[in-house]
Amino acid sequence: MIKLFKQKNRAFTLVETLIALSIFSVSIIAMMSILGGGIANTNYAKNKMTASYLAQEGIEYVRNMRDNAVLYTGSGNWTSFRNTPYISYPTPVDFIGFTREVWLDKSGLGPDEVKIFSTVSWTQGSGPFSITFSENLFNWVE
Amino acid sequence: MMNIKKIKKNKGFVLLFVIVISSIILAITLSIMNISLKEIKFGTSARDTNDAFFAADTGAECALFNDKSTVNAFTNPSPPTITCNGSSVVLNGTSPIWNFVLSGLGSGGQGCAKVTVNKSSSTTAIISKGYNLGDASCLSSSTNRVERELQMTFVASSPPLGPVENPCRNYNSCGAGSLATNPGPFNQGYKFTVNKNGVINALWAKTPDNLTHTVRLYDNVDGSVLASVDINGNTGMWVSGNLTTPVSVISGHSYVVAVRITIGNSSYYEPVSMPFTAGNITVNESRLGTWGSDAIPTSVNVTYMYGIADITFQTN
Repeated sequence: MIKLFKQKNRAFTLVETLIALSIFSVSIIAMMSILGGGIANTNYAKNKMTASYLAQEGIEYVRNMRDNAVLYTGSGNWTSFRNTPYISYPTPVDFIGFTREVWLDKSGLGPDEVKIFSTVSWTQGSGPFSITFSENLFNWVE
Repeated sequence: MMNIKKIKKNKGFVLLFVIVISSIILAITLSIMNISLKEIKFGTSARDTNDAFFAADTGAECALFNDKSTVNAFTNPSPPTITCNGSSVVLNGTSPIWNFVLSGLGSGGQGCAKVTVNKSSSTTAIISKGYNLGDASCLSSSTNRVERELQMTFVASSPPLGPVENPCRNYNSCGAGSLATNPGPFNQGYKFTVNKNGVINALWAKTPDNLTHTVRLYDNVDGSVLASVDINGNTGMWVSGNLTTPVSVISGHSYVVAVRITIGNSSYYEPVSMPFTAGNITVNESRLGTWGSDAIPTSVNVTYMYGIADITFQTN
């Protein structure tokens, strides 16, 4: 009887069981890590959307500064706007988990033009990320 | 014997179990990867959208700036090169429809914009197409290229007119003259040269009677009547008549203004040394017409002003 049992299940040794188990666990671990990566990517996409809206708002903020400067007396003029060294409102203002920097660049541009940048940075599991928008503004009011 | 049978019956259970669990986890993994890939694409498209939109906005602002009255690049038949984003931009097309390409826009300098400015009617139309990717000619075959278009139409306000100028009335001795009795039915006035572009929007006359007189504005080159207005005289007072359509006059050109004296009525005259310049107008000489004619007066007098007529001029 014992002989019969042994003979029939000859292939199922401990070594074979271990090999089968390791193959199974390796594939499970691989899929699990991909799963984790996928969830992290979803999180990255969420943060990127948030960051792009914040960066967009930074541009809008500077546009509003420009409009105030050229349209209303008493709130500066184009030249004073253009000479703003660094937009004071977001002195890297912290939104929860995000940092925004907005600045002006005059290099190589005419006196009635300025290039504005709005960068939002954030850090998540896989490292630091940032998104930057840029636009040129003109002194186009008559 | 029983045990062996049981083992035999359950043979392959582990394999089935492993396959079921593996495939469930695989399915979950694949679906989550699918979702996250799409979200990344969505997030990237949000960035590309903004890059394209800001490129379009930069193009539109560039067009607006160069459409300002101080630059006026798009009403010039041979437009000057315009400068945007730190480099000179070539205007293509023919007046009044122009188009140009801006490149090197956006934070990475990869964006570009194609702008069309149409000034063919009183309404200016600007169409600016912004792209997140594009070369110096704003071309790209990339599948990640996003376009955002801004259209704006507006009516450009005409620049404010200069102060009102009445060269004869403003001049000290013009308009306080002597009476010429029964001078005859003809045109009396003066020739003047405009020193700045502008409009004439009213004509004046001072007559000793209170009859209706026609005051005319002539082109000095061909003698054509540019405008005329009937004025009811008010015995020795200056009276004006507004022109329903103001006449645009061009710097350096000469015109003649004259009031028609009716038969048997008196008119004023006075000693004035001509030519003289008042404001942006040079009054060259007084002009007297021929008997009974409404045509442009041609007889010249530089010591006496006859008439007396005047214009209201405003620079633009």
